[in-house]
Parts: sequence; C-alpha cells; structure tokens
Amino acid sequence: MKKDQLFGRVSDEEAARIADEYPTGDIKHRDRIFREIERRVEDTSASVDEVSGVESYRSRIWGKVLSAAAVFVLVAGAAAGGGYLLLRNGRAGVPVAEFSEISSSVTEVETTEEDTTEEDTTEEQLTKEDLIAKIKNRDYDAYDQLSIKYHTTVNSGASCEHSEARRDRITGNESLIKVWTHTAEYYKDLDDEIIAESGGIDKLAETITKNEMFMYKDLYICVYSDTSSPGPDQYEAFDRSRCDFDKPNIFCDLYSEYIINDDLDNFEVQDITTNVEFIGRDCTQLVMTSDYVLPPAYKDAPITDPSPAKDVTGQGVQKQTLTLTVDNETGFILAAKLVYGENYEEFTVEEILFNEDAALPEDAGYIKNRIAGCIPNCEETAAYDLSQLDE
Amino acid sequence: MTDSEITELMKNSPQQGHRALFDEYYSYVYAISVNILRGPASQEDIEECVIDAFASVIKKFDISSVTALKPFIGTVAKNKAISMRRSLTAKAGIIISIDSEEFREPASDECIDRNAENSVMTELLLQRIKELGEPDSTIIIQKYFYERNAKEIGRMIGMKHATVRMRCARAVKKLRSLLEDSDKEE
Repeated sequence: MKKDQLFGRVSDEEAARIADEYPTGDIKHRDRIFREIERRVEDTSASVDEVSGVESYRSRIWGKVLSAAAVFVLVAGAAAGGGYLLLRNGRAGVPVAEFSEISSSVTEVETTEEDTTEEDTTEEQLTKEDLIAKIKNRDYDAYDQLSIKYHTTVNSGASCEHSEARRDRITGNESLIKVWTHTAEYYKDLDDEIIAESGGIDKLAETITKNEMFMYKDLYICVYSDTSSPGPDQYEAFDRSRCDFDKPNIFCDLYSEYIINDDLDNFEVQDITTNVEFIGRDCTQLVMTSDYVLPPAYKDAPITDPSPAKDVTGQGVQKQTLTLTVDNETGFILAAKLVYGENYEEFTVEEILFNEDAALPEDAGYIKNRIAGCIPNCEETAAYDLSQLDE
Repeated sequence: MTDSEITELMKNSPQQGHRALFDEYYSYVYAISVNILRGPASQEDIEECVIDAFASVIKKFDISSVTALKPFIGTVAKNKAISMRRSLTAKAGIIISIDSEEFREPASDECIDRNAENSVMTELLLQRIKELGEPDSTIIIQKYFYERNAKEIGRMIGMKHATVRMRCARAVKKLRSLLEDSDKEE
C-alpha cells in the first residue's frame, strides 16, 4: 500500500475532524513554526508602522544591533577577519545624531548657493526621491529564492571579503559564506613579535580566513577555518533564534544594507546617470556627498573636546563621496564606493540570481559532511543536538 | 480556548492572542494545507503554507468583522494552499487548468454524487483507522494523511523509528483486513 493511495482529497469537515482527533507536530516543531509566523508579522508591522509620507523607512536599530552581534561572532570565530570590523568601526567615531546635524547644516548652505530654476530643481528632486524610495523599498521577500555573490573591500584595498548569501524562503533555510584576505599593508602596524611569530608579514598576508554559516531549520552552524592555524577546522552550533545574521534575512549583513540603514539619509544626491548596465542588469548610478565629522584626534584637537561635532569650520569635517549603482528592477544596490580623504571602501555584487536560477542554501547532507572533519569549538557545541540534520 | 476568548486575548495582549490562535488552530490549518498540497509539495512547502496562512490571518485580523474564527482561518488556509499548489505544479511543468475540478466547487449532480461517495468512503476509512486503536491509528494518520516519516512520528509519540515502521506495517495489514470485511458486509 502506497501512502498516496490511502487518502485522496477529503472535505474540509473531514480534515477538521482529523485535525481534532489526531493533532500533529511536536512542541519544538510547533514553536519553530510559530516563531517564524511572529517574525513575518513583526517584519510587516515594522514596515507599516514606520511609514512617513509616501516612503516607508526601515528601522535603523536592527542594523546597529546586528553590527554588535557581527563583531561578537567575528571576534570569537575569526580574529584575522578583523578587516570587516574596521569597516564598521573605522568610521564610527561620530554618533549619527551629530553626523546628521552637520550634514543638514552643510546641505542647507549648499542648497542656498545653488542658483537653479524652480522648475529644474523640482524635476531633479522628484527623480532623486524616486530613486531613494526605490532603494529604501527594496524587498528581499519578493523572491522565493535569492542568492547574491559579492565582495567588499575596505581599508583602501588592504582587506577584502568575498561572500555569498543564499536564501530559500520555501524551506526557510539560509547560508552565508565569508572569506577574508588581507594584503601585507594591513598587517604592517602589528607588533614585531607577533609578525615574527607568524612567520613574517608576507606569510600573514597569505592567510585566508573563512566563516561558513548555515541557518538550517532551527540550527545555526558556523564552520571557522583559517589557513594560518594548524589542525582541523572548528564549528559552532546553537539555536538559530540566537543568531543575528538572518534577522530579518541573510542579506542584512551586506555592506549596502549598512549604508542604507545607517548612512543614506546623511548624503545628498549630486548626480544621476541613467541607463547604466552592471552585471547584465539595467541600473542607475547616483553620486552622493556628505560631510563626515572627524573624531578629535584627527584634527589635533584635545581628546576632551566637549563638542567636536559642532565644529563646522571645515577643519574637523571631511567630504565623503558615495557612488551607488542601483538595480532598476529591484532597488538593490549592486555596487557602492565610498571615498573619504585618501581612503575608500567598495562593495560589488558579482552575481545575483533569482528564484529557480538562484543557488540554494546548502542542504543537510552538505552540512553534515562539512562538519564531519571539524571539531566543536566548545563543550556546548559538542553537546548540541544536531538531529535536525538527519530528518 | 473558545473563539471569543482568543479574540479577547488578541485585543488585549496580541502576542498571547497570536499564540492562543496558533495553538488552537495549528492542526486544523496543517490538515487543510496537507489535504490540498499532498503530492507536489514537500514537508517544507506545507510548513511554508501554514506559516503564510497564519501570518496572513494575524495581519488581516479584524476583531469587529470576524465572528467565527474557524471558517475564516480555514478559508485563508485553503486559498493559500491552492495558490501554492498552482505555483508548485507550474514549476514542475504540470499544467492544471483553473477550471479543473481540483480547484472547483462541485457544480454538477455528478460531482455532488461523487463527493458524497468519497465522503462515505473517507468516513468508513477513518472509522476503521480508529478501530486499530492507539498508537496504531495515530501512526497511520500521521504517515498516510500527514505524510510524516517514521522518525518524525517516532518523535511525536515517543517511540523508536524502527518500532514505528514495524507497527505501521502491521497496522496497514490489519486495516486492509478491516476494510475487506467492510466490503463483504456491504
């Protein structure tokens, strides 16, 4: 007797009766489904609650919380992956409120100085608003499957992160693979002793650090590997609800998301180029500028300076230029380059695939195989129940 | 918990209300979804449908307009499942017309007769499954209606999956015999 031969389609009443007499799903399974329902409801509530005018604004808070979580995981798992920490910390000297204050002051002056006709300004403003709204209204949930391969370069090219994020909304599984490399320049300020212990700067520069994160059902599993460390790779496992890399989805850790959530409102659009083709997609390019308030140390001011952010003389303010390449269809940022002083940071999507074309998150078989040769990084991981990989 | 208690809870404490609604109707929504999605859908697809249905019910829930929760939830779940089935069959290259009987309410006398016949058969089948006694009836329903595997069933009823397989094989044999007896009686 085959299982599909016993029951055909039954009526709703019969289905209700079966549900009453034979309830399904264990508590753990139900809890996981309920958490996912709550997550989706909250996602919607957040986007509805924060509507301002015709544009919906996403909360900035989760981005900041995530940064903290990302720092924790990276420090715990991959010391040599610190390049990305610099991405987050290197320009974090000024609180957002102070940043906005300076930015709006300067914008006000610039607007007054611009001697454009009202008609021209209105037309340009509409285009800018449309584009910014498109970016802010991007929706990763519009695709059942989505995979994005990208790289992020920080420290003016000294640190590079190659990543691939995959999401399958049908199964709920996601994965994020990150590989970091650094040039010799990145290590030049390390203590001589550490450099010597590591076999020299060139040896350090050959180091490849990798975090492979799998969000599979209720599990979060991360495999840490580092070519400079002898011995087997390590893995960590804990409950997925404790992981922040997939809140609200795996794409929250893209450099472009930090720009949108933390910085975009501080920039003023200066130039728009339409009909730009990038990785085979129709895009629009925006050049934006902003003024970044340097921390006191950078302008030779006393560290005790009580109000560095109010210094609008120009000595403590640095011009930043942000160039964004925005996908016309989705509103996703496919490329971003931030130039400040002599430094730059760059984010480039190499491949973006949708639905049936998308690369799917790794399955249980792959994950089991991947951790088979690894050692758990702590007792808690060693004791963690991974039976979901066998289901 | 009654519908009015759930409604009241959703009004005063939404999160607790959501949980109460979920606990009360999870099996029902799951059964409705399985019933429509059985065949082209995986376990994950069915779960996705259940999640989607509940999220939709909670988001669109209007206390003033919904008096009975069960029909409201059942309709949302059914629509979600039909929509997903269409999507899955389209992906698999199976073309099912929207006029197909699969998606259509019974319109002709013939359909009504056939449905009534099916209903009698399902009633008989459920009756015989019940006669198997526990845990065999649960094993059969979980395996053949909900399409769960032995490991999942084992976890639900606290039994080793090898034992579930063995009991399931015996229960199917017994069920076949009970159904044959029913045929003879008729």
